[in-house]
Formats: sequence, C-alpha cells, structure tokens
Amino acid sequence: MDCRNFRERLSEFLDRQLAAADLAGAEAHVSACPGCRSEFEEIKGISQMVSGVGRKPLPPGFMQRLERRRQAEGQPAATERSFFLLPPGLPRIAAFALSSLVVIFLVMNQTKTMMQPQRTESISVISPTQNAFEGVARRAGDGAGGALSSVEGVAAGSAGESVNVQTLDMLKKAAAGQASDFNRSGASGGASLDQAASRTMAKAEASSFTSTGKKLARARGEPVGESRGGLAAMNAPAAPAAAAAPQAHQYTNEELAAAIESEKAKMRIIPPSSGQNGLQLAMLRAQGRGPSANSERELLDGAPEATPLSGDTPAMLGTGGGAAVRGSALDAKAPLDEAPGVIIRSEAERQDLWHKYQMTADAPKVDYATQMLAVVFATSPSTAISISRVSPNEDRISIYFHEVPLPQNAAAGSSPTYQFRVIPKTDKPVVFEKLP
Amino acid sequence: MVSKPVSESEFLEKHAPLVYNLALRLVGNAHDAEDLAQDALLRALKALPNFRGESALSTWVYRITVNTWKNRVRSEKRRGLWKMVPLSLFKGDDEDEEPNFKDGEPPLDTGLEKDEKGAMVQKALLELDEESRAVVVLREIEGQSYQEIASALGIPEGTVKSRLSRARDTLKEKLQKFVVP
Repeated sequence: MDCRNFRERLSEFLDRQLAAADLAGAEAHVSACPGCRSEFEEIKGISQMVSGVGRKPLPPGFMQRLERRRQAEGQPAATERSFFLLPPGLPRIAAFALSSLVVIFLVMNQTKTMMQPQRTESISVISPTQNAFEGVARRAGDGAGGALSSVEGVAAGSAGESVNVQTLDMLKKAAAGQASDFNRSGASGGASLDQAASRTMAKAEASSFTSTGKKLARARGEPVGESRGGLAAMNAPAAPAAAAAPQAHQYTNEELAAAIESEKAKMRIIPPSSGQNGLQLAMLRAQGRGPSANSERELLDGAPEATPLSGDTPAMLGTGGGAAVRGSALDAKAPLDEAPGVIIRSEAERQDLWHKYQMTADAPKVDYATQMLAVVFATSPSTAISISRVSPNEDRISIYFHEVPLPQNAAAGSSPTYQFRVIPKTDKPVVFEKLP
Repeated sequence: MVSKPVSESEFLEKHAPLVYNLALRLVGNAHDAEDLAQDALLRALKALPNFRGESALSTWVYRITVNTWKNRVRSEKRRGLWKMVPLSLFKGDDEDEEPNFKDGEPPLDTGLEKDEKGAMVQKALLELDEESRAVVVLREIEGQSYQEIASALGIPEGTVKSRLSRARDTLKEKLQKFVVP
C-alpha cells in the first residue's frame, strides 16, 4: 500500500473497517512511513476529541414535557375543527368534494348568467330588507355561508329561474346566523370586527346590488310570486311562504338605487361602532391617558433613553398586567384592556390597530407571510415599555419586557407608551412577561 | 427477524437519551435539541406498533430523528427565517435580566460545552454540511457502525465511508490546534 492509497483509506483503517488483506498492508505502511503515521495520529486525535464530548443527560422535566406535548397533539387543532364550518367528524375528502361541487355549480351558474341578456330598466324586487339578507349572506361568502349562497345561486339558475324556497330558507338561516355573530361580536367589543365588518359590508352591498339586479332581472317574467314567497321565507321562515309574501313592487332604476342607499345606511348600524375597545379608548381619553396627535413625538423626544427613537419604538396606550395573550388585539376574545400586548398577524389588523388608536408611528415593514408584529403597551402614562427579548420556547414565544419610569420632564402630560417588535411568524401562543 | 414488542415506557427510557443526544449534536443547542428530540420521539411512538424489526430499534429511531431534523432544516430554509436568524437579533438593549424558566425548562442559549475544547468541537460540527454532520455524530459520538449509519441515513455504506473521511479531514483543519501531539 502506498501513501496515496493509505491516506484514501485512513478513515476506514482508523475504524478497523478494512478487509484483512488491506488491513495488513495499511499496518505495514503506517509503521514504515513517518508522514502517514503522523497523519494517522492526527486523525485519530481528532476522532478521540470529537467522541470525547460524550453524551449529555436528558434535561430535567424532558419526559414530562414530552408527555404534555403528546397529550396536546392527541387532540384535533381548533383550525381543523373549524374547517369550512363543517362538522368535526366530516372527513376532509368529503369537505373537499362538497367544496368542489359548490365551486363547479357556482361557475356554471355564473356562465349561464353571463350568457343571458340583462334587463335592468325596471325590475322586481321584494323589499330592501331582502337586499340586506343577501348582502349579509354574500358577506358570509368566506365560509359556509358562501357555500349556501352558491347553492342559492344554483337553485336560481337551474330551477327555471325560480328561487327554491327551501334553499332560500337555508340561506336566510346562514345570513341570520352571520348577522347574529356580528351583533354578538359588537357586544363583546371586538375591535376589528366593526371596521372589518364595515369594509366587508360595503363589498357585500356592492355585490348585493349587482347580483340582485341580475337575479331579479332574470326572474322577470317568471312567476314572481314564487320568488317572493321564497324570499319572504327568509324573513319569516316559520310562516307559510305565500302568507308571508310581501307586496310586489315595480321599482325603477332610481327607486332601486334609493332603496339600496337606504338599506346601506341601515346596514351600517349593524356592526357596533363603540365596542369595548372603542369605549376603552374613550375612557382613557377621558382620563387624560389616550394618545394625542403629537403625544408620541413629545414622549419620544423627551425620553430617548427609555424609548429610543427607532423605527420600532413609538408610544401608545395600554393597560393590564401580565396576562398571556394569543391571537390578535382585534380578536374579541383578547381585548386590549386585559393584556399588556397584542400580536398582529396581517396588514389589515395593523391598520385597524393604528386607526383605532390613532397611532401615528410609521408602519413597520412586516412580511406577514413569515413575520408578525408584537406590540407591548405600558400601563401608565408615566412609564415606558422596553422589550428586553423575544424567546422562542418549546410551546410558546415569550416576550420579556420592562416597564420603566419616564424622566419627569417626559412624563408630564404624556401618553402611555408602547413598543413593538417584528418577530417570526408562528402559531405558538405568545406570552408577554413583565420583568421586574 | 421478528422483533420483540417493546412497551412505550421501555422504548422511551432507553431511546429518549439517544435521540436527545443525537439531536443535541445535530442542532447545537439544548432548546432546539429538545424540540427536535420530542418531535422525533412523538413520531417514533406513533410508528412503534409498525416497527418490523428489520434493523436495530436504535438505528430505526436514529433514522426517524435524522429525517425529522432534515425536514425541519428544509422547512426552515424554505421559510428563510426563524432559526436561521441569530437569536441575538431579537434581543433588546437590556440583557442583564435573566428570565426565570419554570418547570425546569432548559434556558435558551446556554453554552452546550463549558470547556473550550468541547465548544470548539461543537462549533466545528455545526460548520460541517448536514449530511457529513449526521455521519460524524453517529460514528464518533453514538458509536454506530458503518452499516448502521448507512441504514439510519438511508445511504450506501460507500457513501458513509467517503463522507466520514472528508468530514474528518475538515474537522482536522478546524481542530488541529487542540490535538495534543
């Protein structure tokens, strides 16, 4: 065995993995060649050094944490349960098939609608309230309501341009449920829902206008009573459809537009304009704690050491102690007044928060596909927040922060502060922990 | 070969330390190692009833661990963030306060090796490419044979030999000054 051969097989020689004949040749070579012997000794030393780091014991509590994870992973995730609002037991394949059917029918219906001549000079409508229901149902288009809405469209398209009473009853229930959700959300003070609802509502109204026009134009010349009966069933499902049918009325374009405008005005009342978060802001302002237009700049200028004037250190309001928060500030289940911090997972949520609390800080650059925004609020106008660290843990993300007193000159007349930090996106719960 | 059924508690008692140590050397810090080890053990526990005994149980669980780690590395590379971003980037100005970890959870960023030599070995291991690191850890620290490593990594034995040889040369360059002549 020569030097080149030996060095190529040095590693195997070290591990005694060479065949007997090769092993004998290698042993002979290493004892005769000082260079190769030196090389062998070096590699052997490295190998011993690496193996010398040895094994570490399991960290304390490893098994208990493993067991906890095991138990936690044994339960279906909340997101799985709520998939398309289908029952938890419904297999995904069935859910997929149902969704596919709905999409196919929707496309077919839309194609058919586009191929028909549209006549909207004078169309039959039942009442503006039905527009509202349709608008709400359209708004539910992101979830199961969307599916039902699609089913309604299919019924209208395939059943000789008439509206299926039973299907519309389903649609009405979906719409009513959605409206009920909105009202409940309003009562519980969901900060985002009122704004998100307003936006969605506006879209729904536009959609409602178009689709109502199209559908009712289609229905023109058809047995209007049947259509009205179906729509009436939306309003009074328990009553016989014919008995509950409202008076048919011929609207001109102008009347229709006026009716829709009127309906839009009514619908804007549905989302709450003053949920708990809105009230909280008002109360804070009443206490002189709310943010003023220039309070943030005053605060930052006055207290650079407490809240350095960097892109991620604006000032804002907030109350609360050391509670853990998961989800968004805009989630009705996590109102701001119960938590020191919030997690923002989308630009819409950020805009809502900024808008809701009139935050004037520059919007941070966040790639919400991979990042999210953690915002920690001070509990007093005389303190500032300083995020110490963000620590990813096994089952959560911990955000450690200090709440430090502001210098006297900065505290006078200032608002409470906040600090935010862009952190990697995760589904793990986020815990805000105040350091002493 | 028919394997003798193993109870979950027996399996965990014997293999959890192996999996944790392999994970520790692959990822280089206690926190991520625990996360990886638990992922791998949970997978292994799910698959344990289907273990056919075609290899040693330890080889089988090593393979699960390495595959879990590879998936994680791939996923993190795809996302381009998270653990590829140094934790220091997320730290604030005040580093004096050490948070209290409850339930004996491992503190973050704790140096794995207290002595300089150990720390250099771990650093050198982390600088190896992933495939070579797995081979070296299984051979040098876990003491697996070439055949067992090939089985654990799903690669031919010849590949194990060549990777190990190259990795040792690389480690020699990085660690030579620590080797006592």
